[in-house]
Amino acid sequence: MTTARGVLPFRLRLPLRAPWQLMAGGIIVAILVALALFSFFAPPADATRGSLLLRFRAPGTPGLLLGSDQLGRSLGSRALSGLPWSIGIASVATGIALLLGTTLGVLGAFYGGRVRAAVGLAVDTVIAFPALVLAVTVIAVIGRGFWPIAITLGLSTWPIAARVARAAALGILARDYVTAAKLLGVGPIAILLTHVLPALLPVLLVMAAFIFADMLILESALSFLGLGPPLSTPSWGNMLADSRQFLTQAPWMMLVPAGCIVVAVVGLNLLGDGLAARTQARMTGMP
Amino acid sequence: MTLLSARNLTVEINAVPIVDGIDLDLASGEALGIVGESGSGKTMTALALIGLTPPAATIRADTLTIAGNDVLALDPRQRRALGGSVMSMVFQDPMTGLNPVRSIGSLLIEAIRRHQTIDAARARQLGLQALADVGIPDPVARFSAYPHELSGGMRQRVMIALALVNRPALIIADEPTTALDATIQAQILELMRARMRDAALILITHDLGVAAELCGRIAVMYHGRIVEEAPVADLLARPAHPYTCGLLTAVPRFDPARPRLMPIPGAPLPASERLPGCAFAPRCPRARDICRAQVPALAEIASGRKVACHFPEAVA
Amino acid sequence: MSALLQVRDLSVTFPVGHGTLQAVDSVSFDLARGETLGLVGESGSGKSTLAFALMRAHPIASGSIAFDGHDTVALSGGALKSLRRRMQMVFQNPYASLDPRMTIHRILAEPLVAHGVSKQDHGEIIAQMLRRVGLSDEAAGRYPGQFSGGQRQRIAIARALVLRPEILILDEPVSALDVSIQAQVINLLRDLQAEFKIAYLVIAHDLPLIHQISDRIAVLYLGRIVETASADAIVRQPQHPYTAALLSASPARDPSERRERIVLKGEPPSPIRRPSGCAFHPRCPIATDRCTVETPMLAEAATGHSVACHYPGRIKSPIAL
Repeated sequence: MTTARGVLPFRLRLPLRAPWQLMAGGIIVAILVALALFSFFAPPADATRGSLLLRFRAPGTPGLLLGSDQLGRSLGSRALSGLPWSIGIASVATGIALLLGTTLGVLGAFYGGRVRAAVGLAVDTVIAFPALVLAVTVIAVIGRGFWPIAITLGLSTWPIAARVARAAALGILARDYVTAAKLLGVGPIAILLTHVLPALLPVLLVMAAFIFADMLILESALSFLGLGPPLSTPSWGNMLADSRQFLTQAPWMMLVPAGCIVVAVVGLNLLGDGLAARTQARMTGMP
Repeated sequence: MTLLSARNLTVEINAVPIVDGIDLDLASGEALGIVGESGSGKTMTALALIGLTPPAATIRADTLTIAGNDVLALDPRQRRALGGSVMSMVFQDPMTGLNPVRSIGSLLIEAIRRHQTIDAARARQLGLQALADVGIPDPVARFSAYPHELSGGMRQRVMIALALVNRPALIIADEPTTALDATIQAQILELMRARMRDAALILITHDLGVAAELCGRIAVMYHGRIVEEAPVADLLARPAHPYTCGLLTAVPRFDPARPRLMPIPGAPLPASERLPGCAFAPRCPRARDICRAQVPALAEIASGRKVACHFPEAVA
Repeated sequence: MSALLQVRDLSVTFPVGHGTLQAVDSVSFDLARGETLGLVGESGSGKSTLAFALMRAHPIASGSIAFDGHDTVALSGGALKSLRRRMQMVFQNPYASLDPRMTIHRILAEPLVAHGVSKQDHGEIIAQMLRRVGLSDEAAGRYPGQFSGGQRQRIAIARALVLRPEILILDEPVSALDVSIQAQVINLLRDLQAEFKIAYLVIAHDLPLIHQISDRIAVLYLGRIVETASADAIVRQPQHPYTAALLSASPARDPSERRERIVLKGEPPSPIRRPSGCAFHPRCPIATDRCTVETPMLAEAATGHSVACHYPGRIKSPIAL
């Protein structure tokens, strides 16, 4: 009989070094969160009030590290004060998607039959609509604002979480220790809470990082389309939308918010990759 | 004629010696069994000989020659060229040894034409013959089948056909029957006995019984070292190392009295842990102070018999 | 005295494609208190399915299972739960059967919690059980990853025993362990049986091992029992050619034991395409035309020795006891 001990035919304790992606991604995300908190509690004044004398200054101008826009407002400060919006919306949306997706996905995996069929149908239905189109439609109907946008984004993304959670839960439910628990007389809820969810947690963490990055992009796209926060709010999407008219005159107006989005998304993806690699190392490193 | 000679062969992974300075000698046509438990280094020995160690492994040896080739001096391409022609390998799980997206026939034809310059039609003929030789019924139909369409026993036959098709001088088989059912295991052992007459065999197994069926000589490995090496009948009848003795008394045999089994106490020492003395000392009923202080060297105690123990059983 | 477990004509089927797969086919046997029954068979013989069916973890197509005189096939809910308190199972692979995220204490407490054992007794019960299977009390605070395979199997056995079941099903309990460790676990199982008077149902493919620990042995082929007798009788006078072949296939462990090998043709057929007549006839060395059409029934060949073969006892045992 064969023994299940990972890929290699021998046992070794590999040192659990944090992969560089985890380090890099973690640092980027931590800095972003710190900046968001800072700007939420102490919003930079020159983000909304500028001096018309300082219009269209290129990055590097003393006092205007990242340049200024058509109203002479500091782009750096604007990017900073857009952070709480973007990160706040992405957090709430990711939370909703994970909570809903995990619950339904795990239930679908645990109870076969009608429950699984119903979850599958709901997943397929929602996934059939592109998230952006769905969000645009809903927001056009119910109006804009922090909560409508966050909830709409979450509701349009949960099926991705549900699919991943269901697949992972099916794998966990097939493990011997879950069968053993069932045969010991442990009830279904206890099995879900003590065996399935803890084993699912690493998967959920990785997924959260990727969904978070998706949400940032979607939120910016909504703002760009004019469906994001009120135009006076300096969100990254709004900044991008503003920059359109001055693209040739002041390209940095576009480059600053776009750069912010790229850095945030890359940071989150690195974090997700790093978490995934660490989980992988644990799975194969442990006998 | 010496086919394989290894002196002080060592395989390290992350500075942990999985194989710890072993000597191996194999004459043409000889069958050697390497017996050990998980973590003994037996599989890593096989992978080092065939050149399939994982990337993190470093192989060192004072000498390592196979069929006249100084293996450690070869570049990777030359090294690969030895595989299949000079030596070939049979794995425990044929599913990992066979490419799942290639038909049996194309695997055979590729193996044949990589080492022999013949046309496709002739290669096909040889491939069909190879399948028939390992007892696969209806070889023409099986030629276009994919590995997953075959049963475990049939896949192992295909692995053996592939290993034999270029008539290598040495076959290395790693637990070739462990994953198989008892009656299929019997078939495969029978097949290996019948078909591997010409080639030399290194059989890696945890099962002394399987090694005894196929091999003339057995080397017992423990914690990366060879602790005993002897002709099979001598080893089974009069084991010299306490570990070998323990292995033989620990397994149940048919006995109406059903005597209590005599297990080896404790568990094998993990490869990552080192002891100043004999690695078996913590489990050994005969261990004394010197065993815990000094590693015993593998020494000849009788003609053809070597043992690494300070206090071996008398074998005469 | 009636048996603790009485299984009659038990069948388990699985739907496959358009048809059904008969994994277990009209199996009957008794298991007495404190007795060990060994189930031998190859993959596809239905031995693991049978174990899960007895645990009531697989739907049962037909037949009856009586535990201590009470039918268990119809049980559900709380009654099924109390059956599980009296009947437990140990899995083959101790690397998979223990949750790597739980401490040993939590693993052993899980069945106690599920069956409402007062929490203040847990520590004492668990410490006692750990000592009983040869581990120290400190083991309770550690994780499965910190133990060797043999120790993990001891933990799995302890978990199965904390509720003091009357029947323990052991599915290949040592085949995932190193040879030098197997004997430790086998001896432990024998000691525990003597102490707690548990009945064992041991599933294994290793015949010397099965012979070592079983009072009686049943040989399964393609979902049916083809032979059942006392352990010694199975080895000494196998009546079914398949039993004889299995005996001869177990590798010799010393040179004096070297024996004539009966090598069977072909492989076990899939239960989906069950051969006509005797399902073993395509591989049988002594099959006749009769075997291809007429299915042999399990019948008593000697006292306590039943066999399903038209020509019982034609092949002598390859083992000299």
